[in-house]
Amino acid sequence: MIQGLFDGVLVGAILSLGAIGLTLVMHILRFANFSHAELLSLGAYVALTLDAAVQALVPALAGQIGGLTLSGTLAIAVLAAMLVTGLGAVVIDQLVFRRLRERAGPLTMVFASFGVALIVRNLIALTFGLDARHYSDEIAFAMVLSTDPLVLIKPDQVLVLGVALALMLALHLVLSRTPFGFALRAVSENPLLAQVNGINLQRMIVLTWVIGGGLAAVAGVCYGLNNQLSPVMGRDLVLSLFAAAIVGGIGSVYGAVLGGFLVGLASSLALLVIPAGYKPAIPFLIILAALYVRPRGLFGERA
Amino acid sequence: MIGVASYLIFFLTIALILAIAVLGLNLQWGYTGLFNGGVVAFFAAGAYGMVLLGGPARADGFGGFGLPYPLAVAGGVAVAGALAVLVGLATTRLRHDYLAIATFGIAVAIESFARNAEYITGGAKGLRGFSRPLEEQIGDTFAFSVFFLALVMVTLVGVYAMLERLVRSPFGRLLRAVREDEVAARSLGKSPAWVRLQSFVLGSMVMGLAGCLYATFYAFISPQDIAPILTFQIWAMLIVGGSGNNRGAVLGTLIVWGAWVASGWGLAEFAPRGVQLYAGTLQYILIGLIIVVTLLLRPRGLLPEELTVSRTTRAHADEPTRTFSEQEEKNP
Amino acid sequence: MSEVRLEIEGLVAGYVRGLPIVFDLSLHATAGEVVTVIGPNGAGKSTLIKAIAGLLPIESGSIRFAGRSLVGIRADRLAQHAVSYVPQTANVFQQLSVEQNLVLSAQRLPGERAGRIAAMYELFPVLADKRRRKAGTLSGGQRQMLAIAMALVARPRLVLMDEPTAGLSPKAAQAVFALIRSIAADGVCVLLVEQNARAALAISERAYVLAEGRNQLDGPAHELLHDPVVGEIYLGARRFATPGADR
Repeated sequence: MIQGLFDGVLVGAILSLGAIGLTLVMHILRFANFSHAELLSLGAYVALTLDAAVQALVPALAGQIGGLTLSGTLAIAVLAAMLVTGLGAVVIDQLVFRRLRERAGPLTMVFASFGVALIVRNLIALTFGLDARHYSDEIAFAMVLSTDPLVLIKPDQVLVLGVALALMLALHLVLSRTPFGFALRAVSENPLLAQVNGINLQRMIVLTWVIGGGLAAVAGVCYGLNNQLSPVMGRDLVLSLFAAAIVGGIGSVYGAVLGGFLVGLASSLALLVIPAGYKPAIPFLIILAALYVRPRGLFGERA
Repeated sequence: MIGVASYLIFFLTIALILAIAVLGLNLQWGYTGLFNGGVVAFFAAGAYGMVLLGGPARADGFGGFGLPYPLAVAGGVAVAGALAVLVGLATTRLRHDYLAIATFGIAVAIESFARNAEYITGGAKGLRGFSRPLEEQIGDTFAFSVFFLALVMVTLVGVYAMLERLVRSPFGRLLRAVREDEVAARSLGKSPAWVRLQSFVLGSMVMGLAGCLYATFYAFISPQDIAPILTFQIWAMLIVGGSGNNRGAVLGTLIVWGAWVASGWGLAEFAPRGVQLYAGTLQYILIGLIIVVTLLLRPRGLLPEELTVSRTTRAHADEPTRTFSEQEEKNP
Repeated sequence: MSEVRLEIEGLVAGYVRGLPIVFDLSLHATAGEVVTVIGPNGAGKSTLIKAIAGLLPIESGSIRFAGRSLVGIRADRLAQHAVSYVPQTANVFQQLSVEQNLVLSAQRLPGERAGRIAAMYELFPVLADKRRRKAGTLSGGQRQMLAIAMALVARPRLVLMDEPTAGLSPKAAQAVFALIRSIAADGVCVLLVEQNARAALAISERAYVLAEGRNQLDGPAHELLHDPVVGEIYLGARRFATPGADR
């Protein structure tokens, strides 16, 4: 039970990071982006590649820090992966979504996002192989927090939680303290008014993708640290991300954070009562329940 | 010679079964503007429902009621419809992309149900032993395959005729009104949510019917047959052919299914061994590209809505070797 | 001294190209003037003001302010032309606090933002009291004050206002009208669109009467206030040659 709670919080933190970008895009660009989860995979694999590259360049940084899988090189790689993934999201937008935005409805963009997801996911598989990968071949030993009930926590998990919470705090500060944060919230509430108040919508769209992609990259690396990297990780996460965004309320960053934790906890605790094979179906049940009970989510706009 | 003929029959049977599902999707997307991201869920509901109702009794599980074939098919279609009601009630009143998310979700849920609920679905092994209608009476395998193709064709023509009548009826105009301008439709005194729900459920039942025929054809259904890619294949077929045009839907099915089968055959035949491991991956990229490129370059498809286009092109069936159920589930 | 004037000639504009809502409209306004555009519902008043603000495509005609053309400018660059626009509804960011609304709109200024925001608090003490409150919690009148403050903070020389008193109590509407007068008194050109014709004419120098997308009548506000034709247009007693509708 306690182990379940902890695992749920951990998965929740990862989902929150992914769902923030998803909810922003869904709100500002008005479409459900089924390719968002592929940005998590993209970020995770870019970090894997850059990690190896930095190790080759600066071997001194390759040592692992404490009992963590994290090394100096991986830390640098993650920062770079955030940027690359953010820019990748912008490129996809420019190639596909922007063109459709100009002449088609939002549902056409939803449709295209399925196609984009298929392409990105399978290009990753083609590039990195179908088999699962890891950031480190070392076996990370879990710390026994308590023996009765048995609670095991890996140092990596503590790190993941810490990083996720720190990023959310940073985002909170940006949104609540800086003019850029006000502008982002303004655009998501009322794009027309934002425009007449001097905000360049095109630039905000680009920045939305950069933020969404960057957070997705971190979420992807965290997922990779906690589980493993696989080309289908995006496919496995996409529904949970939507569940988090819907439970929180589309467009609400704080909703996405809370929704992520709720979905993570619910999925983890649900496994105490239902067989593990049904795990993929849990986010769907959460979505269905949310749509029947409170379609606008906890903090969302009117659906 | 008989080999080529029987392969052609095989190809056409599968393609035309899929065409029925594409027609169901066309009702939802082409005529009503509803995004169904989980076509495969309704296809699966029909297939499993039909096999459970019409199949032989199972020693270790639920069902196998041995109902007469038409009743089993009706039951399968009804299961698909019930599933559509469940999802539709929650979403047809909401922002339109919620339906996309919920339907995508139900496909995931149904797949995991099929894999795990062994008592009902047979789990990963699936449900075997379905006896196909009139197979014993006909006896000869080739003759039966011709008969079954004819049955599929008759069904396709029937569904086609029904949908054509429907979309040309006042109800069809209402569907398009809801698609084009919800406010206007509401001002006519019609509830757009109700109209959308009807269209969604009916389209999903047509997909369920396609699932019934598919399971009948293989006399078998398993989770491998309901992989998520099927949804995107069916979408690609519709968009290539031209959504909002039933003839386009059938044409697009033949083209995309032909391309899928041909690419699988080509990869298996000519690609080096290392690449063959990624055959499925490459094919998935193909489907993704078909969707994205068509949306960008030819969003109205080959036969756009409401245009009388003379039918000059016919899809050619290539000589592929891979079958539909061979899709490797390992691939993303 | 060259006059700071808004000059519109032969404007044709609408929401969709090829379906104009405003036809061949000409209008001018000078610094220090309040010019009101009145007319029945669907006359094209909002369309006119959105077209000036760069929010709608302009099919033909010219819009010049202070000697520079406003045709084809992006709405987010209005401030570079010293133009502010106050939309009719949803004209503050409800999720942001009063202060955040002002900080955001002050970003249009190159510098001296804090001073401008302080000036707005001085002008609207009620906003200073509620600076930490979310704008969504303000009363209708306070919200309108904030919307106007967001326009003024950028030091505009032309303010476009779309029905600033819609939905306000008579008392709050009175305060808004008094405020508009004082804005003009500072040498700003105010173009006002109003349903509340009588009250708007009372504070305006000049007015244009718009119906069915065309300019039907114009002149000094006090004359129009007593013109029987204005009443007829409002009552719909007058027939017009061409059809047209707002949105």
